[in-house]
Amino acid sequence: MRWFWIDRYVEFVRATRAVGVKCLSLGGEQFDKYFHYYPVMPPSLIIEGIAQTGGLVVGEALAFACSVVLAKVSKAVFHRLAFPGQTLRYEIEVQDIGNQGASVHGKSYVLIPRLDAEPETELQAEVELLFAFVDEAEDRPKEIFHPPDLVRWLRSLGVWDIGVDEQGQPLQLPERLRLAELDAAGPPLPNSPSA
Amino acid sequence: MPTRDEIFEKIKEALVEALGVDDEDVTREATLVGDLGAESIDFLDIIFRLEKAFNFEIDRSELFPEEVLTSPKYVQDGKVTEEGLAELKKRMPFANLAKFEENPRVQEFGKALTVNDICGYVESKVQVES
Repeated sequence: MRWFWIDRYVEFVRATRAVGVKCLSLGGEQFDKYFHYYPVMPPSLIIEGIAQTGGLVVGEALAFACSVVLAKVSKAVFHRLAFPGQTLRYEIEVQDIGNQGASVHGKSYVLIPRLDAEPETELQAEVELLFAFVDEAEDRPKEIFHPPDLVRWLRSLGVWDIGVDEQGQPLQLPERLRLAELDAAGPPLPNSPSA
Repeated sequence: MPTRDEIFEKIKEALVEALGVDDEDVTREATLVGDLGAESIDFLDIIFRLEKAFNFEIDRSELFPEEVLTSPKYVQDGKVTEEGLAELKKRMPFANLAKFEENPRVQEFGKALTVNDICGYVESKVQVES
């Protein structure tokens, strides 16, 4: 099982807010292992999804120069369960970004499919999270992700398709990550246009 | 301009939210680590909440001067030296370090900080109505 708990961003504003979606499929391994005969999305993984939605916004604000790790779940209130066939919509607002960490508030909405009608949307959970910044001084790896893998993940989530900065301008891939991605791709093929 | 009581109430609210403790647990004499169960990551949470409550930026090193507590200049055999204690007092004039001085082991420092010390820090940063 891959540790991806959002499928795509539909909104991403630098250092401010984001909306990510997670489609719940009965094929997801988590449904087999949580309550065996009652497939329900584990709340801990909903928290993880909200953390990924917010943590990447915080990381982008820092040009992914240090690792942003979930340090504390300050508050978590769950209003209802979420089931396969439904979609979770995670809306996060960045509260603070400091020198050593950041705080984010998130809400999870569940979109319940209906025949011949728009999905019904219900508030599913409210979460407050605290992130810590991990750097070399703490004797830990500076980067949790191999940079090309991080870029691939962020591209898959649509960060550079829909992401904007505080002025509404499209986000740019940081130069360090762009070079890492190029490096990982290897030399161009002999007959390619860029060869 | 807030009164000392108003400052205490705001700090109490921040600590209740950050540490999940009851209102009545947060007395001026309560120690953050020993009595209220704060862990190291909670201090970051507390700082964010205090910044929002009082609308000024907090330098973590002013409240928790880790560079003093980790410097070989000020710490020997796990204990803060006389010079280190003097440095702590200089940096933290708002804190009552008398109890810590009795057993100045670095690991005891977090346990020494009280709610009243946090009040003192905030009072040193905002104008207080007398």
